[in-house]
Amino acid sequence: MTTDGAPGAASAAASDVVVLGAGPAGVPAALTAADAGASVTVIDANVRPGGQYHRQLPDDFAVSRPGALHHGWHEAAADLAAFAAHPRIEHVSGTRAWLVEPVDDRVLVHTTGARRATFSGRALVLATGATERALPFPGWDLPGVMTVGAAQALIKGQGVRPGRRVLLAGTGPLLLASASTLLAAGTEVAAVLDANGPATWMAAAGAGLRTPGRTLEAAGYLADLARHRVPYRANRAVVAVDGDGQVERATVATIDDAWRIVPGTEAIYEVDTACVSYGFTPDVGIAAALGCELTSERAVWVDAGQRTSTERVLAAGELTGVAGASAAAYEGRVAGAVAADATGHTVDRSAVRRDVRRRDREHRAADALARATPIRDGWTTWLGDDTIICRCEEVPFGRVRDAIAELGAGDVRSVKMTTRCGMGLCQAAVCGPTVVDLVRTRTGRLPDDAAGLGHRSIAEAVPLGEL
Amino acid sequence: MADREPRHDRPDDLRGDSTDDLRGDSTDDLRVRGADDPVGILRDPAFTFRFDGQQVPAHPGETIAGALLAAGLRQLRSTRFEQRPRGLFCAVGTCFDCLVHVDGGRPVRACLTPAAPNLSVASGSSTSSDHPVSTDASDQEADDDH
Repeated sequence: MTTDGAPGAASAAASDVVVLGAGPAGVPAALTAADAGASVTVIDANVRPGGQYHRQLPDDFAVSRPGALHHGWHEAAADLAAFAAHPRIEHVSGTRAWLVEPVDDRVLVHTTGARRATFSGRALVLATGATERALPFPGWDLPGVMTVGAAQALIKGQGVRPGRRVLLAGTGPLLLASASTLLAAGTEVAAVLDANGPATWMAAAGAGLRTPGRTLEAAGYLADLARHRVPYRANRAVVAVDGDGQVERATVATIDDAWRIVPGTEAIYEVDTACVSYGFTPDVGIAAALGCELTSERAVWVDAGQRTSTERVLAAGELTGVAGASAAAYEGRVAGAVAADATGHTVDRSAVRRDVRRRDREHRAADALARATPIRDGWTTWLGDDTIICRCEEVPFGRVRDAIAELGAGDVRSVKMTTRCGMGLCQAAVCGPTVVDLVRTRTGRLPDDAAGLGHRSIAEAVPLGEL
Repeated sequence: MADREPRHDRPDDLRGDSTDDLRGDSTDDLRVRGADDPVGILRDPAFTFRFDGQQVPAHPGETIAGALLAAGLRQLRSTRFEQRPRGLFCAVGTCFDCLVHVDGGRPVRACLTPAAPNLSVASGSSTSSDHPVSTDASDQEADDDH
């Protein structure tokens, strides 16, 4: 699978549409554009299509029931099969874009990885997704603390359980979905701790009036918890873990509406694993580099046709606002149709209008859910002076706090320069949103340079308009 | 695009816990199998690689991180300033916390690097900063599952 050669050495492969990302938005975008007659190149870092949501086991494993752990697998499997077989789709796997640049009437995508080449498209669809957010707490750098997405990836992508006895904590829909995955794979789940309260369920039920599928899905997850007698606790969080070289126990506390620890409520859980998830941050890096406008929620701004503010560049999926896999699929279909139309192909306009309606319905449901699963600033009170903020550079909270207070670091860049926060290998993918929030909560205003470093996004309903 | 039909090169009645002994690994590990396996995974026989001198079983398709976690080996490196233990955190290549050395080479992400027979894997240590880390999937790592 490895192609050697200097970056950029290979000549440009030209197609009508280039799609970055083969996940829940990228695959439908490619299929819709290709079905309309466009030639499509899809570039994705993973070997198999599907992204994180539809993660599959490696080819080396034989499986008899591949969709058993995936919600909505039948639709996704049909799309993935059509994607793999489509004569007008070239899937460039194991490959990342390192530079994207508009040149004349085309967009050039320079890649590294399995295929080092320059791809060229008359339209570009960004479908780069989102990164899961973890909030720091004392001990969160110990082996045994991982993201909920990691647990999902291990079970779905490796057939390995994340631990023997697992605590799940955080907020958002992934928490419950993941509990079901862990239980189905025979994992002992000590408890599911939701930092938010029953308002989540009221809002989810309200949203469910328009998207009954989501309500049924959530009800199914809750039934799984009940059947396995796993306690579901609202207004609680893992606020510390400790152990000798790895997690041996977790401190769980009741938190108030602002997410401050309620004194005297701390309880110890004997677990070897704590999986945490506090929503997702849109991956806007490439879009920002292309000059695409961002929303106040640090997502890529798009119009009703999924066009960004940069000519010839469209975006679909979580990078435009975190709204879930169903919304991402409709966004992808709309983006694929608009990209095909823009490159001279004929699209089925009634199908596009239908996808727009369904997309907007998903957005309203996602909006309601996002409002019910906010992140409250009280988590910053869980931190001790020596709690690691930047895992790569081992920067403790005390140093970040002092940089903001004593050095007057009122923007992310100043914090970065004085503390080395975000200068490590992950390039602030993990600590970026944390640093933005620390600056905001301690200075009282959102730092001017928060864009591109990420901030938890709430799905934004795109107004219905003419295409 | 490497999709192909699942292989069923062993009869169904060999699936489940009873076959694990034949493949040389323990049923006490963290692999999803038997009655706890809704997917019905059929693994090819295990091989071994070394992690800090210890023999670790792995099945084809598993990453170094997957095989180590399955065996209960959670500390993958220690940090360069405070020598704090670190392990698998994001498991999808984002966080770079699972850096290990393979056959004495540059640090790679254990969650993206396939395990292979007779590899010599060393936990990432304070010397890691002396080596430029490969962030390139064309090196030893491969994203996702290969």
